[in-house]
Amino acid sequence: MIVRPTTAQLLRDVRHELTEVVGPEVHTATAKVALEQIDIILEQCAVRSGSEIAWMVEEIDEIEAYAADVADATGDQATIAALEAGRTGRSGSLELDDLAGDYNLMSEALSCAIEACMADPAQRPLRERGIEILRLRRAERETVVRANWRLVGRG
Amino acid sequence: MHDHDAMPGLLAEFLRRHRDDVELIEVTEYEPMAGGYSRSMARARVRYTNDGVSLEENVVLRGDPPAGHSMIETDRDHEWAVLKMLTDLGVIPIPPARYYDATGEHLGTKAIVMDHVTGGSLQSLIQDMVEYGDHPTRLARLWGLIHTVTPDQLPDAMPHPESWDARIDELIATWRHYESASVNSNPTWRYIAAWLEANKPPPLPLRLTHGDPQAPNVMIDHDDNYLVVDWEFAAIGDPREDLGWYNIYSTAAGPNLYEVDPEAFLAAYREVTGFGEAEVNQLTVGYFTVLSSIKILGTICSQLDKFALGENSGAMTALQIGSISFGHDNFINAISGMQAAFDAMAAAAEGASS
Repeated sequence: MIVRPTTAQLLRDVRHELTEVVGPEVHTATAKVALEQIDIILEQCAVRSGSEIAWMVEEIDEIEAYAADVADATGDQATIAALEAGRTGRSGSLELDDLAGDYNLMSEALSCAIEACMADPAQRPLRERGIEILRLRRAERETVVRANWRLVGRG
Repeated sequence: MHDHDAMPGLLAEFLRRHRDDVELIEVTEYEPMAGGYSRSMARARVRYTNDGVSLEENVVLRGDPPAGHSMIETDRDHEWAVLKMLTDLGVIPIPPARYYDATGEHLGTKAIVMDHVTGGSLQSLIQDMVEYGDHPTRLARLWGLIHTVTPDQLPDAMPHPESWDARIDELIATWRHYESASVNSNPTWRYIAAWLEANKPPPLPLRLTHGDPQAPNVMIDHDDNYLVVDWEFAAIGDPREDLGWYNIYSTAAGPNLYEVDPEAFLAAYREVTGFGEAEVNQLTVGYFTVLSSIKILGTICSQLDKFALGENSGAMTALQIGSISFGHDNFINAISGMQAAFDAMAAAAEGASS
C-alpha cells in the first residue's frame, strides 16, 4: 500500500487544483459559493484523516476510566450499564466504521456518568472531570477539525 | 424552481393566474441567489404590459430545495401562514408576500413569491463596517418590536404552549430528543440538557418569536427601513430565545451587534418590550443562547444523520458539521462562565447571611 503522499496531502492537492484551476472558470454566484464550501470540507477531511483514529482510541480509554470512577462513586445504574455495554461491545478494531461504533458506545457511558454527577452535588469534582473531557477531548479537537470553517455565502 | 431554463415561462404563467388585469406578463430574467441557506432563493425580473405600456419589477422566490439536499427541514405552509398573519397584523415591518404555490405544481416546488428589497441585507451593510452607528440599538428595538406581539394576537393554528415552564421544558427535551435519535451519541448535548434543567432563569411572558433572528434576515429598503424576512421558524416562545439565537449565530458569522455593547443593546430592547432587568440581562441571554440553539441545530443534526445514512447529501449540509461543533465549543465555555457567576452569587449570598 502506498501510504505517502498521505490522504491529507492528496486532499489538500485537490483543494489547490480546485482553487487555482477550476475556480477561475466558475462564474455564477451559487457555484462560487459551492466551490468555497467544498474547499472548507476538503480541508476538514484532511485534518480528520490525519488524527481521528488516534483521537477516538485515546478518548475511549479515557472515558472508560472516568465512567468506572463515576460508577464506583455513585453506583449509578445507567452509568454501570452503559460502561458494561461499551466494554463488551468494543470491537477492538481500527477499521474506521468499527471504531466509530466503539466510540459511540463509550460516549453513551460518558453521557450517563456526567448526568449522574449532575444529579448529585457531592460529585462536583467528578462532574468537573467529565466536563474537562468534553472540553479538552471533544470541543478542542473539533475546533481543530473545523479548520477554516465559516458560513460561506451567507448574507 | 430547480429547472432554471424552464422557470421564466413557469413563473410568468403562475403570475398570470393572479393578475388577470394585465394583458401580458413576461419574465425577462431569472437568477438563483446565493445566501439563502435553508431554502432555494431566486430573483426574477418581471415585465407587465397593458395597452402597449410596460412596467418592470423584481420579485424574489423562496422555495424548498430539491429532495435529499436540504440542510434543514421546515414547513412552507407554516411560513406562508405566518407571513399572511404578520401582514394582517401590521405591527412588524416585512416585505410584502404576494403569492404562494402551495403544492409546487406551478413552480416545481412549494414556493413563496415576495417583493424584492432593493437595499440588500443588514449583514451585507455591516460586515465591513468598523463603527456600527445606531445599528445595534435599532436591531435591539426591532427584536423588541417582534416581542410585543402576544399569543392572543396569533392564530390558533400556531401551537400555543400551556405555560412558560411547558415551553422551556419542551426545548430542554428537544436537546435530549435529537441526541437520542441521532446516529452519534453526544455527551455534550446531554450535559447541556442537564445543566439547562438545573438552572432555569426567571420567567417572562410568552410572545411571538422569529426563531432565526440574524442580520442576513433583516433587509433594508430604499428608505432605510429594516424589514424582517425568513419566518420559517416563527413560534410562540420565550422572547429571550431570539436574543440567544441572535447572539450565537452572530458569534459564528459576525459582526455581533449585541457584543458591541451588551448593556446598551439590552437597555434598548427593554425599553421597547417593557421587560425588566431581572429577566433580561447578560446571564439570561447566555442561558437562552444555549437553550434556543436546539431549534435549528436539532434539525441540522437530523439532516446530518440522514447524510450518514445515505438519505441526504450536499456541501451545504456537510458544512454544517462545523455549526454543530462550533456550538459545542461555545456552549461548554458559556455554561462554565454562567456556572462561575452563579457560584459567586451563591457564595456572596451565603456570606451575607452568615
